[in-house]
Amino acid sequence: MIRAARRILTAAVGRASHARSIQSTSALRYPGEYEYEDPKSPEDVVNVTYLLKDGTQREIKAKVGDNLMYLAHRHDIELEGACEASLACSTCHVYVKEEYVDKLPEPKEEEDDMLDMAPALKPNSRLGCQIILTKELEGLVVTLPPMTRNFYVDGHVPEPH
Amino acid sequence: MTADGVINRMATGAQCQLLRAPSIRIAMRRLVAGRRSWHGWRRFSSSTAQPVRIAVVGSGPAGFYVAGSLLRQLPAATVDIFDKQPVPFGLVRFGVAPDHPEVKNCIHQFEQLFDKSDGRVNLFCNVAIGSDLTVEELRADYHAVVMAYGAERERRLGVPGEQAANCISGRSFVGWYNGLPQDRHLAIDFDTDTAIVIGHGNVALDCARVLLSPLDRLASTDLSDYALEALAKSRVERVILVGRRGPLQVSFTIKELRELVNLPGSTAIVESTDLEATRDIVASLPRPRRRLTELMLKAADAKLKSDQTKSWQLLFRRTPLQVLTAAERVSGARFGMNDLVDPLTEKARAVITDREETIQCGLILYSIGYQTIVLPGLPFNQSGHVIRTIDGCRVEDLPGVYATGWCARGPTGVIASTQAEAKATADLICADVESGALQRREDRPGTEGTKRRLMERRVQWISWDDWRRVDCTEREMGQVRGKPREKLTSVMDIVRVARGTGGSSADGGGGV
Repeated sequence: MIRAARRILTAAVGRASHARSIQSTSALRYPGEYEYEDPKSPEDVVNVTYLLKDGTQREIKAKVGDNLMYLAHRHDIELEGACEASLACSTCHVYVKEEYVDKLPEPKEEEDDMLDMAPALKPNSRLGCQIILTKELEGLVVTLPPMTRNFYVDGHVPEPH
Repeated sequence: MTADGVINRMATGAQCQLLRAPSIRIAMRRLVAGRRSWHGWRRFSSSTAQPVRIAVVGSGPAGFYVAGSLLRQLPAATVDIFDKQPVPFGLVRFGVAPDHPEVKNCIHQFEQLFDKSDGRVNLFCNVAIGSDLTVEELRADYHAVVMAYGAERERRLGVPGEQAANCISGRSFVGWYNGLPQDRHLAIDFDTDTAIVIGHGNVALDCARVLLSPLDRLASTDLSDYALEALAKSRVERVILVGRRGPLQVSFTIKELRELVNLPGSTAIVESTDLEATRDIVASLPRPRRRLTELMLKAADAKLKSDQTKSWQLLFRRTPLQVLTAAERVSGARFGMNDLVDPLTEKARAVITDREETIQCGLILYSIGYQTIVLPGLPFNQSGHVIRTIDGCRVEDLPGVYATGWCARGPTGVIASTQAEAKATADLICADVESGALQRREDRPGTEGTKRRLMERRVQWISWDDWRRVDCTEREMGQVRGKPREKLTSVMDIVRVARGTGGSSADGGGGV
């Protein structure tokens, strides 16, 4: 299906006004597309476990280069991505198992800024869209934050301005 | 979604002659995302063929997220989304600042709802619940009604002089630059060098940023053309942001503060004994508060950039007492100075003293919170401004009626919190369907009942297909101007374009 769409895309883009600039990128990929490819070799494989909100877990045979948020989308794991990995929201917030925290690159300032707005922030909080799998992350375990119906019922008291 | 579906969608998109490539980009993205099963997330076992008809009041983030979650979890559910505005997306369209286009990406998800749910979701914009349809009628026509209509009224200052010309609520100002029909013709005069913004929340910072932004920074956004023209003539070069309490109690968040700190052409003036007092304890604050305070301190420590002609300033511990006027126009504001009880805690209380201060200015924007209007037919809490619920979600004494988002908990929090809460509300509704608590023994007229009532009342509702035509027109108008879209700002124009009867040419500037 992806290939079919690519053909349609190429044909249509050919007609479009800024076709040249788009076509000049030979390895044209759209966000989330790469994650739909299966690992090409055993060396590519990175095993990831998502611990879900309902207490169950999903083990995924992922690959080097996968983005943890788009990977979740491929596998119907309920991790939102409202801003499409543009660091403008915190809906893909996850907790990273302690032993993997230091294996991840330091968060960018923008990621830290968004994490500050995430409900139920913890020291091992990260945005899923900023985690790109490497061999070093083999066995990575991430937990989706708990669901809260009403943040105030859960103890937070809003303050007037 | 099948490849055929994509081609069909592209054919529809091809009406957007000027935008072929971007529309295909979006189609492609959807196609890729389409491999994620719409029904893949938790599905309820007892959701048999018997339909569950659900009405959602409000098409902002709360409404869309709750609708999306319900459609995913209940294959037999149909959802009708209502909005009194003629176009969907609520504060994503009318609240989110024009220079935050990434925040609006969530609209792509909302579009998918319509593309992927096989006609199980309908949009009824330009339909006001409370006048065009009543809450009672929705209760009669649907098995469940979810209130997700936000908090649209600003809290007033409540001081003498606030009726003066150029004393404007931040909400109206935001509505004005974002093309909200009701605020389109707001009278606002930028022929002054100093503006005061009352409030220390994100809306206040958005207002300050729009007032101080270099024009070229705004010209490529979807900020409405008439607003851009008015701002081009603005003389405002100093914005003073005044709060009732201290630096540890500000409500704005770090992203918005950082944008102001880094705004080209403007410099921060943060000289404050209040801020100085935080230096000793800043390291011990919870992380979000710590990072926010550190950024304020950093801005205070930074040398004044002498090449900057504009400035913004944070002032603390001041309560507005009076809007001063000259010839019925704002000329300044009188503030009472506050002392703080427990100033180093989040819960610090402001106690007004008899010390006063007057600041001259020609424009006042106030943003001290929003209020929910509780629709007729719904119970409200003690303050009168939040729907009364049993558990933050089920509306008291009205079985089958739920509330989520700002109308349920008050106007605070970002899209992430609204999204999480909407999801939890949907789960609760699903649980009520599962347990039989939600009465659905008999079928209800649902969409057909609504359409019948609206036709009888000659209400011109805007459907999803109507909106797609408006969307296309707005994008084409934007393309001509080198911006993502130029919003249509009159209800009449929107209805005309939606009906395909013209109404606004590509260079019409939003008004006809």
